[in-house]
Amino acid sequence: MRVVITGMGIVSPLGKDLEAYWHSLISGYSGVSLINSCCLNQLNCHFAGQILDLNIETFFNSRQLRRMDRFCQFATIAAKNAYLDSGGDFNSNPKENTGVIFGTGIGGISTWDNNLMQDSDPDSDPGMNAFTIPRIMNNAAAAQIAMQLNLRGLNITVNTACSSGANAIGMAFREIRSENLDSIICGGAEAPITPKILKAWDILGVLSKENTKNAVKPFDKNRAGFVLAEGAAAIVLESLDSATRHNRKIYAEIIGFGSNCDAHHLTSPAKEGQAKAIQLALHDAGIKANQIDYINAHGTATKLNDHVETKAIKKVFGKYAYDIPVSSTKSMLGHAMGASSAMEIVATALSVENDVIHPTSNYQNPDPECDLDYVPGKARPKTINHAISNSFGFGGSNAVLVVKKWKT
Amino acid sequence: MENLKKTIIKIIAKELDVPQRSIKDDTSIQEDLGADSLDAINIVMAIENKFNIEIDEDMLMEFNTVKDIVNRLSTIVI
Repeated sequence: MRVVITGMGIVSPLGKDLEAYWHSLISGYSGVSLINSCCLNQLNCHFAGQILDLNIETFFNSRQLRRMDRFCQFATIAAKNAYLDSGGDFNSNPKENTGVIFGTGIGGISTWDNNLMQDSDPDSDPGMNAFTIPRIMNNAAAAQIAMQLNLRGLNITVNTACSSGANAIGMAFREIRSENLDSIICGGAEAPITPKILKAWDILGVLSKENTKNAVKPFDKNRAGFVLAEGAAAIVLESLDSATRHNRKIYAEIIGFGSNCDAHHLTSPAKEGQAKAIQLALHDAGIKANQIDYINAHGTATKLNDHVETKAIKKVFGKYAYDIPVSSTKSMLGHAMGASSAMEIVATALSVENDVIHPTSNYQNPDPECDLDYVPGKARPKTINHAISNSFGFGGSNAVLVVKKWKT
Repeated sequence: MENLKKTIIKIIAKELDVPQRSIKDDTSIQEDLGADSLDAINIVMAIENKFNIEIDEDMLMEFNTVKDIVNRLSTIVI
């Protein structure tokens, strides 16, 4: 069974709807901003991809909000918007053939880590109550989406760190291809901008200390690491039969998924594992390497990632690697961990639909170790029949999806 | 007794985010205000903290209306 994208929704530092997100991406805007907090003196990185102007009370009543962590709020807004975009049915009837597969890296950490960075008060009471566990648990997002839309099919939460969203979408693709369900809302959500999480990432040495809104410079010789980001992206994947029956709009088709593990190191990537994941995805899609027109990179702007990802691409594509545009969505919004790969698949699908590749922002100085075409500076028109989106998580968990232009 | 009732109403209003004036003697916390088991735990926690008492599970099950709570607590805190 063919699997198509019939709806998408996003809440991101680059826009809270698809149109704003796409416009920001192809314009090369930055979604990175200064963190407003009293705790900054304990941190080296003072910037993040924050969602600052979301009026959350317009989406949820106070009873719902008490039960939802920030990551869960993002997930539910993105999922409902994707469902609305797909023409989904908002009546109260149970939907037995629609499921939810959602990814997150650290779930309800902002409940645990004593409020948001913006509101943090080191002397405040942790304030635990009966909602603490239901807000923290990683599967709260998938559960809330199902409850609010009455979706009674498979309900799974995926946690593979920074590839969580891509693995969630890939697993949803397989479920529908196998004809187990008609449709699945899938994606990823994260809200990691909290004092302790910022400090913990700081300790790992991967956050940029540049402290500007242009701090994330993937594949650039002067790269300095990434900044954390928050938000969610959701996709409605649907069987072609169901999409046709309901006369859905179709953005693009998912035709391949490769998922594997480096089995190498908790935080260091491995070229062989990443290359294998790309090969698995191409094999699954039944296409040749030279049919790929665009690569949406994992592109974190750490030296290790940029070098290893570039080598993995060259290992799979050989000389053809130099002909493929490769761009990094993270250059503009930072790294939203479990949500980032879902945000990047939304970007990839929009590129395939519109035949436009968003740039890698802030790229100025070529690195001899990174010698591919990283689409510096501005968006580029190109016919894209097939694209891949790379996502590589801590723990060596790699996930690659193949997106194909929709043709009957 | 009246002060105890006022305090209880204040706690319920805060935990359920509803106006104090909407809570009467015979208001059912579950049926009228929509509280679920999680809300009930939070209300009990707030009462325990306010009066520095412990409320056991049996007592929790007796709590339905404001009057129930006030009557039960009046034997302990007054």
